[in-house]
Amino acid sequence: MHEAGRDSPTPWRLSRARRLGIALLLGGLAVLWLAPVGFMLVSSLKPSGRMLADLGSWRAFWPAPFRPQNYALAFASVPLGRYLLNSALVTAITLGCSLVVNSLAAYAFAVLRFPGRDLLFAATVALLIVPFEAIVVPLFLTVNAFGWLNSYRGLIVPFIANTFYIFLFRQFFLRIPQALIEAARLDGASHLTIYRAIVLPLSRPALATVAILEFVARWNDFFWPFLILTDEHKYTVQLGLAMFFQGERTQWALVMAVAVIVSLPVLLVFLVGQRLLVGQRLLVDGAATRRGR
Amino acid sequence: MFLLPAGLLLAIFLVWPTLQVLGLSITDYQLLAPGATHVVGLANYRQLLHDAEFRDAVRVTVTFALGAVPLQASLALALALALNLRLPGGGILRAAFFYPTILSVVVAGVIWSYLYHPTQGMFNQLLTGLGIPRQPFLSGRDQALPAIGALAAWQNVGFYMVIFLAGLRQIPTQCSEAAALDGANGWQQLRFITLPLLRPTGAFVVVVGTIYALRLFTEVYVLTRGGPFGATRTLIYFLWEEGLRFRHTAYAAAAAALFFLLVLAITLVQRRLVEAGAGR
Repeated sequence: MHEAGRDSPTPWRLSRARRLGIALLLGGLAVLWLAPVGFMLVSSLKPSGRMLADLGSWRAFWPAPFRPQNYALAFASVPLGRYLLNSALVTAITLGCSLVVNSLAAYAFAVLRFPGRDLLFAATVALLIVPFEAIVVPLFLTVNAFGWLNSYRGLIVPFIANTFYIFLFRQFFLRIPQALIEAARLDGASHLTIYRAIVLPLSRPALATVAILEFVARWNDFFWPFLILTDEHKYTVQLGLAMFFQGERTQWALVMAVAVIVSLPVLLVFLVGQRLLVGQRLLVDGAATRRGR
Repeated sequence: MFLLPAGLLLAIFLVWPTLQVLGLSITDYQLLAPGATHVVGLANYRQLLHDAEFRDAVRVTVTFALGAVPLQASLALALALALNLRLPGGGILRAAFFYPTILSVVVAGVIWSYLYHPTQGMFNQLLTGLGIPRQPFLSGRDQALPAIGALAAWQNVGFYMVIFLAGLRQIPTQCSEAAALDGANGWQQLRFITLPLLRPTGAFVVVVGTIYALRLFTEVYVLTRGGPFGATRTLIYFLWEEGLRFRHTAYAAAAAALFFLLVLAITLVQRRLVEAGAGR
């Protein structure tokens, strides 16, 4: 395992000046790359009328006239507080349950011995291939049959168990020295105690990775809330933003203010967990499940 | 006991719907429709193959994937190779290119809708500044899909770049050192050492990217609603319209089953390619 954050050795040596030149070139590209984000931020701080008018010049990136009250207006023109609360609740509960349920299953696959274990694990991994979109119609029927349309339960429960997170936790648990677990068994500790007192405390990086991936996935999800919610009071932030955007034909700056607010929590999580998100192999394994189930 | 919660949830919300897709697809079930459901065999599949809208949706989706995947993979590879040179400020650059991947698709769509605005959008104002006539972008029949492709590339390249960087990190230094001793220059090392050893990563990126491209929905819903004239109506958009808007449940299930088969086939082909590449 390579340590995170270490730069890999260069296959050939470039002179310092050349590397500086490439860095400057990429820096210019990075500025262009982030320009749409800057445009969103700046536009949220100026009158709606100026936003489109300024789009053709550098003024698109300069917040004048300065209108910070757009943010207060945004909260007044859409139930944004309600959307934020809905998303926060759904994300937090899904995340909490997901950490427990999936790590428990992974413990069974990594530590416990029972007949058919490896076959069952292989079946779990095989399920990784099912794309969410392929099962969304019957999933809708199931959730409808449970009477869970327009409910938090409908947004939360289907996303708690996750085959990829089980896989990820298991890989991590396998690296915990077996002797540690056996010694605890000899001391008479139950598996639940070992899971809680030994395995989980040693698995902070795995817990953090799953927490970040699941936070971003749930907070940013549009498709599923869009399918099962019609009651505006249950809207999540993404659904609320999409509906506000499609219904609003004049107050563009307010749409941008909502977009900024909606993006902030993920940005914070990203800044805190950047080292985990970028440059870790765990993320690479997780690629297939990004933004889906 | 440890497996019970996860096992139960997966059975209800993953295994059962997967089986149900296949089961529903051979019936005439319609949500909210009165009357009994009949088994109709492969009739839904036959109808799909003759449904011009479905065929258009497949064509749009495959076209999108064929354009988006090479674009995103090659851009991501170029960025990763450059960032692998131990550039000053490399960490910041990497974070900058990665950032759009954590924006939600809805937010990205909202931002880009103003860049693409037909009269006053940023792109059109830049074009008129250069003396080029305005383009319709999202409202143009030929331009809507590439316009969504550009947005998708902006959002996803950073993610594949990070995967390529992780792949580059796995390449043992000895290989290029040995090549350097043999007198290989930088380009030769890249061509004959780095790129061949990066093949499994490349295959992974292509497959993940392809599957993600085939799942295109939210960008389309936010920006074009499948239009103009169905030019951006993707497979998943078709699936949503048929299954949940028009309530042709069984018909949509058949389309979903075909979508699943497509994803399955691509994944299996990738596994073959990677195993062949690794010389196993």
